Amino acid sequence: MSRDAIVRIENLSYQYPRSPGLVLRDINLSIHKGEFLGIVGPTGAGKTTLCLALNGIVPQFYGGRFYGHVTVAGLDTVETPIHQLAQHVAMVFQDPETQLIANSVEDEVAFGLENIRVPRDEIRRRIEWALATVRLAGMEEKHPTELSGGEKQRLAIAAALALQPQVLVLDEPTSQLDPLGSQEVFATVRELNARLGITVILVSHASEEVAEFVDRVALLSNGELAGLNAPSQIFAQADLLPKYAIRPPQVTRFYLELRNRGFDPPSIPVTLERAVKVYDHMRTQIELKPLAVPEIATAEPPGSVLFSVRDVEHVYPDGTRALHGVSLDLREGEYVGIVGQNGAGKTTLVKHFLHLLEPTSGQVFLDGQDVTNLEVSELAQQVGFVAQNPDNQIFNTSVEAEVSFALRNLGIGPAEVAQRVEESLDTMGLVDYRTWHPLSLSKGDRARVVIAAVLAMRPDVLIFDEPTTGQDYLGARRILDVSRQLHQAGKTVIVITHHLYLMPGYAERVVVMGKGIILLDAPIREAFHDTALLEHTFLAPPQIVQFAQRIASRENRALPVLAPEELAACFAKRKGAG
Amino acid sequence: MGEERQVRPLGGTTIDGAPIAYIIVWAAVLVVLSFVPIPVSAVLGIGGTFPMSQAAYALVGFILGPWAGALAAGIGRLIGIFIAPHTATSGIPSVVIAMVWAAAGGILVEKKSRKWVLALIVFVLSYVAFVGRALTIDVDLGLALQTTLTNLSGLILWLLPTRLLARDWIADRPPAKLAAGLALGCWTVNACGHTVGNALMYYVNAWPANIWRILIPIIPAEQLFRAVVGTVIGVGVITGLRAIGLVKPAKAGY
Repeated sequence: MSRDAIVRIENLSYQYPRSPGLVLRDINLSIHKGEFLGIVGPTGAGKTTLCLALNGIVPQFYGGRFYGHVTVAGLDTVETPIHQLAQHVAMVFQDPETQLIANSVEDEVAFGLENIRVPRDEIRRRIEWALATVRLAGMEEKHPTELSGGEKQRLAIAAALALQPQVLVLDEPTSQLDPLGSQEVFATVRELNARLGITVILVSHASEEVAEFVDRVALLSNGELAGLNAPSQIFAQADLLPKYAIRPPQVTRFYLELRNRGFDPPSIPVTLERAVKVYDHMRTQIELKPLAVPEIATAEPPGSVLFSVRDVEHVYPDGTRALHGVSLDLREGEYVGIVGQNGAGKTTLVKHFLHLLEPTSGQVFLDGQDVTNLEVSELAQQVGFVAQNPDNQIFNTSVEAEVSFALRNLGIGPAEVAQRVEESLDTMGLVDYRTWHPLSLSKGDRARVVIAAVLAMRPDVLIFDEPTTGQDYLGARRILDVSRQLHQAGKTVIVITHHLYLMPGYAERVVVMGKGIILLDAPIREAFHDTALLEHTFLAPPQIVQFAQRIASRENRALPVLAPEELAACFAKRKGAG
Repeated sequence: MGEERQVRPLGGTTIDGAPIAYIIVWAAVLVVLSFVPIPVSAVLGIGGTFPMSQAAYALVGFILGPWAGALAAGIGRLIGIFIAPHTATSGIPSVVIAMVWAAAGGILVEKKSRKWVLALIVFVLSYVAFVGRALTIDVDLGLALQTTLTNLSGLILWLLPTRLLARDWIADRPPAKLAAGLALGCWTVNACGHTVGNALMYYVNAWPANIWRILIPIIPAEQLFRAVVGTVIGVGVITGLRAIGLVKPAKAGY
């Protein structure tokens, strides 16, 4: 691999026109031709801004004050027009909705190629290859608006991949993807990187994948480059989470926890395979204690049946059969996780709970009443819904107005409105942003605004559709902690998610969906350790579950753990070992 | 810290300082608004409605500046005529009128420019032609002046420092001032633009005195409607644009 720098960043500082200070500070970084660079950092660290500086959108589109130099393929990004830079740098944005413009999936992939005058036959070949790569083959004629969030993200990635640029910049390209989809994108990008020599710069919160696939990791914090090193050096830092709000891979957390407990692992691995090797190395020094896996505490036993779904089928107008005879009971006071691959029918199912969709056949009951006989407005007072894309629910000009909107329209008195708004803003950490325009917040913060607005309604049931998308680890935890508090206060909570590693400690019951049917409905420990079933629906169990199963097969005993700390607690020093 | 660089849009992607993408987006917005018919109209004489896009022409000028605003309004109206014919009562002339309205909006918010004087001359000549047309078809002067009172108010507001007041309020941060600036600016621009449009329309259509009489309350009512809709849309859009922090068109007034 040539080590020529294709991207040079020298003394880069940048301030948006209306930001109070610099969002990037004195960054110096060279990215080599053919390198795969991961960028990690908490929300607001400047990761997206740094990406936008690589194709000239910062500063040419946003304006602001720009200091220093950025050159890509020898072109200065301040002096070279964006359309020229775009021939060298392709970018996948965090929110795929912002870059999908065509009327069909294949037109979307073809658009960039047509603009750089790629021959027709080659365009056809690349469309086929790019769509197959992201598992969208067969959807060529679909309109992008008909795709699920994850499918849209995969389409944006396909459009960028098809360009086969010198530099491919991906800003959280897998945030809406199911785990195997995410793995596939990382693997595909790695293959492009290795086979075609494309330089890849990838922003992600997915620590496990970053650790496994990238050559180097750039750690951004508060606009500064706080670290630049191999993944094994960056992620093995014990203070990563408290100091930079970065979640290390789960196997890394396991070994750091072992070290805290007085063990002496020879190294702190950051990948699953390496973790297994380190375990094999340590086997002579450690032994498994009698298993004492704690069960998840529940606030109170589940009550009577709240939602009853009976043989529900749903066929969309374009003929897509999204649900096939789904039957399910959800009880009062439960905390249920609904998991499954992109397009499994999870969102379609919960939209029936709110009468946002009507079953093609079958029925959904809420407290014994058929929901199709209830108005959406009636249901909204009882069932709070936080949709996948917060921007579809935001329309006011300040955070406070957004949170109070529904309350004012329900005729609640001003004093009560003020109190509820205050509580919701406080719960979601938005008090300081109350006068801000929601669009001036990050997508993660906008999701918190929507949650605050729903909380203010004080519904009995809360449905969160992918609430942790676009959040950093602490942001995701904060949202889930709120959901747990609500659950402990007696509310029924339903969370749709791909982020299985976040669910332990929150969900008690997991419903696994795939291709419009329920594949498994079980307690979380049972569901997460049914790895064959999860993989059947393109879900990968959390890394620590995979690791525990690898250990379990060596030790010939079950290890149904869900978290690194649980697994670390299973070990004791072997008698006689140093 | 590195040396500060001069930041500017490159590569011919702007027209009169407005990115082409903005012009396309606004043209598309106006096309969508063309679908919404407003059944209160000074064109009752030829039977029909006016499209809600008329309420946004001035706003497009405030946001994009005179030439880019006129281009967006012209494209939006032209497409709107064909795909929303139910609101296209005035036909192709409405494209020219839309461009005049948006250009007037852009001129109103421009600083250090004398284009407003040229615009004033056009508006005054249009007003004279409008009222003069009445006299040629036996509508008496008193009735013509009553019917065109709204148009006259636009000319006066354009001439007085109220034009500058609207410009400064639109550029101001507090939403209340922004709303006041948009309301004043929309009324002024719409009344002036309406004058130019009517000079053309009334030359083509010789409406009798009884129609002029009916229009006495209708013209201010529809101007009020346009100003209110333009203000509501404008406050939402401009506060949103400010919040997003996208680069402003060079001649934007917000």
